[in-house]
Amino acid sequence: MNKIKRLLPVLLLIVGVVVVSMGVAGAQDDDLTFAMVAHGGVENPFWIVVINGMEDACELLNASCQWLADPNFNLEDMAGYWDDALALDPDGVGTTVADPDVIRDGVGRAVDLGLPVIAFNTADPGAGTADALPLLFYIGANEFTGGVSNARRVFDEAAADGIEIVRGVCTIQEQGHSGLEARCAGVEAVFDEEGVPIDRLNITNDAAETAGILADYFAANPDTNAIFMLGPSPSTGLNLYLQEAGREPRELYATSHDTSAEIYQMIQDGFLLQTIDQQPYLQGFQTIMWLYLNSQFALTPGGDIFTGPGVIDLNNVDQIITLTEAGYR
Amino acid sequence: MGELTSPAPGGVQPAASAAEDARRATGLRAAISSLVVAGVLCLLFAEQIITGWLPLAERVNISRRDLNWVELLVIVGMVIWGLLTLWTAYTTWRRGATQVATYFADRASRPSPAVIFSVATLAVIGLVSLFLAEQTITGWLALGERIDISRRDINFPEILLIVFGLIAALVSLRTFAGWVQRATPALAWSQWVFLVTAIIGMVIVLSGLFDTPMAIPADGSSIAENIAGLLALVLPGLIIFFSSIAAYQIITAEVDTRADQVVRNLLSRTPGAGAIVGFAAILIFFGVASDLFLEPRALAGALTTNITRGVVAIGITMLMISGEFDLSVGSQLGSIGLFFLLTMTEGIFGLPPFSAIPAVIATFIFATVLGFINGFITIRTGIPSFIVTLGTLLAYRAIPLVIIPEGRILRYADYRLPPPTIEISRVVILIGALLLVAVFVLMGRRLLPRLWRAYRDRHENYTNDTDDFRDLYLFLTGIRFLITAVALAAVIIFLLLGAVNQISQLGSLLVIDFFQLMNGQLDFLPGDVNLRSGVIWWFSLVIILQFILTQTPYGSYVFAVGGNPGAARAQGINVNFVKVMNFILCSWMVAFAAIMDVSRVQSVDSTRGDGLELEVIAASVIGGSLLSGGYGSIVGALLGVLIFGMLRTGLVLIGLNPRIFNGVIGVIIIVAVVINTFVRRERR
Repeated sequence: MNKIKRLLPVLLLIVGVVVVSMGVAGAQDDDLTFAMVAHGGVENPFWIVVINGMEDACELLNASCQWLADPNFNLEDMAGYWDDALALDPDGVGTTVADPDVIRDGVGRAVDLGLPVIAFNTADPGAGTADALPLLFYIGANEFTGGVSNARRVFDEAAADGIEIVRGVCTIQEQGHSGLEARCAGVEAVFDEEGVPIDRLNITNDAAETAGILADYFAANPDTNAIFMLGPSPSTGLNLYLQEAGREPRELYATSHDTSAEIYQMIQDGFLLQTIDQQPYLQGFQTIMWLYLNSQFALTPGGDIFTGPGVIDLNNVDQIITLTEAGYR
Repeated sequence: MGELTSPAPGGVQPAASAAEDARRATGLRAAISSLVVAGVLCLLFAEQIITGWLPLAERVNISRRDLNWVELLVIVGMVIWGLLTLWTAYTTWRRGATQVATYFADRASRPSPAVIFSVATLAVIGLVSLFLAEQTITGWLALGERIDISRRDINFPEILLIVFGLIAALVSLRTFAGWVQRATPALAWSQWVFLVTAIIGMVIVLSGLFDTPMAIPADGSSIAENIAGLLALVLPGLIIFFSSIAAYQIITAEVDTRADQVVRNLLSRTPGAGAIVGFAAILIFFGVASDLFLEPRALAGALTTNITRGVVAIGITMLMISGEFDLSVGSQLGSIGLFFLLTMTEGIFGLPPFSAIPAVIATFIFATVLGFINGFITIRTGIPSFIVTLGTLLAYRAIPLVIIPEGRILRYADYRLPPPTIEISRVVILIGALLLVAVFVLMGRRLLPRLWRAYRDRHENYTNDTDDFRDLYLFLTGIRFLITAVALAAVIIFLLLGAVNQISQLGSLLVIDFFQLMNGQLDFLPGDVNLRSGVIWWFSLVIILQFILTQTPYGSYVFAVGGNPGAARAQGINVNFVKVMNFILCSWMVAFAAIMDVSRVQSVDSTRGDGLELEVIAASVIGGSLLSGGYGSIVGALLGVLIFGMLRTGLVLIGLNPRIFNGVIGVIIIVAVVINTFVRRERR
């Protein structure tokens, strides 16, 4: 008797939860439901903009949308988030492909259910091979061409100033990250074409640490006059180094990827030639739109949709700053 | 029990002397084999030159068969030295003793070959050191990064070589004279000369190995195509190494206290033996591997980059000695840095923005709360602090994650505020300076007469002094008196000048840029040397905390609490208070580091300090702290952090793939801790 008394509240709780969730699930049945599985979330300013794009699209479509991601960068957890996504009984799923094998099972089950699956932000590295995931297409930036654009800009500006690029360096803040490696590969492709040597340098996301590493690197390689940063934190480190070493704008031809207040200021001060913006808002907005078009009318585009490289430089930086404050860039 | 511990009557002496005999026999064998190796290497070197495989000096035509005078000189030298070593090895082997002791004891005895070899080695070391110093002074020998070979200024590595070369020449030639006079102190001195020379020989071998890529033929695929080139790089170092090791073994085979035993005893007295060995090894390794490493620029960079790590490691070490852990320091750094920045810019808890000093006070109160939470939960629940702070590691990280809007980088510059300043009345500075002058004058009055008496006693008793190193002690006591007197006088004059300067503008306030004060670039150094005031704060904190730990009652409480809490409690020490206090102290150090970090970078992002906890614990463990508590040193932790810094800088400078950085750090942690453990065991 005592036992039943103790179990009673627990039972009531379980019944309550089941009833409520059935009610919620039932209420959602009429609307469209889309799920987005990613490898990052609200802790990162980049993903905030993608989520803004998703939410705006869903509001237009009157659909209910879920962003499913681990607050910490953990690839393995994406399999679990795929289970959650399918449990929502969605009309379509967008996913990043940070590691194809982790999500292969989830994508397979979605396709078996007849759901459209679109890759966004990070493409399937096995696309076009026998190992390819059954994805419709990819919406996101091409990291490689972003790197190419940066390197081209450096050579063009140097040529305009009548200066020869002697040696370049591409810095990587997270070792083994495929997107960052692709950005460097794009830079290296241009340098190989021009016959100019280029180094790779491992830095960290800590600005002070990065400034120290850069000071050591330039002490060992004083002739290097082109540097490629791959994100906001590394650019903060570069700025710290430039200020402390008292270097002038255009002494180093520097570029970056992605955006931050510091990057905008460095562009305005002339320390950065340009930064590559992959227009993350589009990645959220378009993925939802195409999931809608495909699930309702079986429409598909002619191939992958590239949201970048978009270039931010001295010409458009002021406009971009306004749009950033509004959460679109 | 008594039977086991007390040996049979008369058994002690033979047993001890048997062990002694075995040790001497081992020393003798080592000496003979080193001699043979050195001799063979010398002859090999000469052979390579004679046969023409190894050209020396300037050779226009590599294939010509004539020898130039440099080559002739080296051949003659090598043949003589090779024959001398082999002859010494043979005769020593035949006699079964080096007879060094006999040489000193009996003035009539003829010097044995082993004695001749040792004396000759000393003479060569002295003359070569003198020659190297002379060549550097006259500019024929250039070291480090020299863009212009003909310039007349002397850089840092060259100054080192000149000073060291002159000292080495003085010591070895004086010791040489001692051997000739058969004065026993020469025995002790030459041990040290040979030991240091052997280490230098290894360094030269290392430096040769770094140059092997240059010896690889342009067309050939591997070094195997150019054995002669490889030999030229490593043979000189190997010959120096084996010759001096042989001489060292010859001497120590018949003495009671060996120099290496003295070194081992010294090391076993400090907790951070592994850190000292690792520090020296890394300094030598990168100093040899890269011309840029010993430049002030690189060393300053290695210090500046590690201010945060260094200051937090102080707190962690204190805490670890008292037997607790704090894994949350990285998250605390992010939270406290953010708190400090917000206090100055937006204002916290609805208060208006503070100026610098109140902001610092508020930040330290915040740090106290964070540290107290860690300590309070640990003490009250009895849960291991490893678990408690694992929880707060995650919990404290949530503070910057939640507060920083959308995870952006929060910058001081974005608030369009003027740089924070501190305004101090010049009267306060004047009084402070005069107080400091008084303190230093008092210090001088107490210290200088004592140091002078120490020197005078040494001087007066010099002829009666039987110590082997009486010259060194005389010199050191003299120089100690001089340096202290000059330093005190300089500080007092500097302070008085500053005070006079203040009087002339007494009415106005002194305005100090707060960021500049906490972590600004030091103006009096050249522009490319990025040494910041944070380094001065860091080292001051090391000195203060090391003083507290080793010289005050609180410090001994810390050791007692970590070593044996029960016994500490029985002695009336409030164990809980000491532990909580150390948690708070650790958070204060983090606050100090966070304020310096914000002063330099002037921004905070939500990942600031990520992973810091393991790095500082690693530095502390390298420095000799035990995870179980009760043992450790703050100076050791300083060395541990410096090892981190030098490794990072060194790997970038020699252009090695920095991906191996963590791998190397891992190996160093294990090696250092093995050394620490080994040394601690030996002491027991």
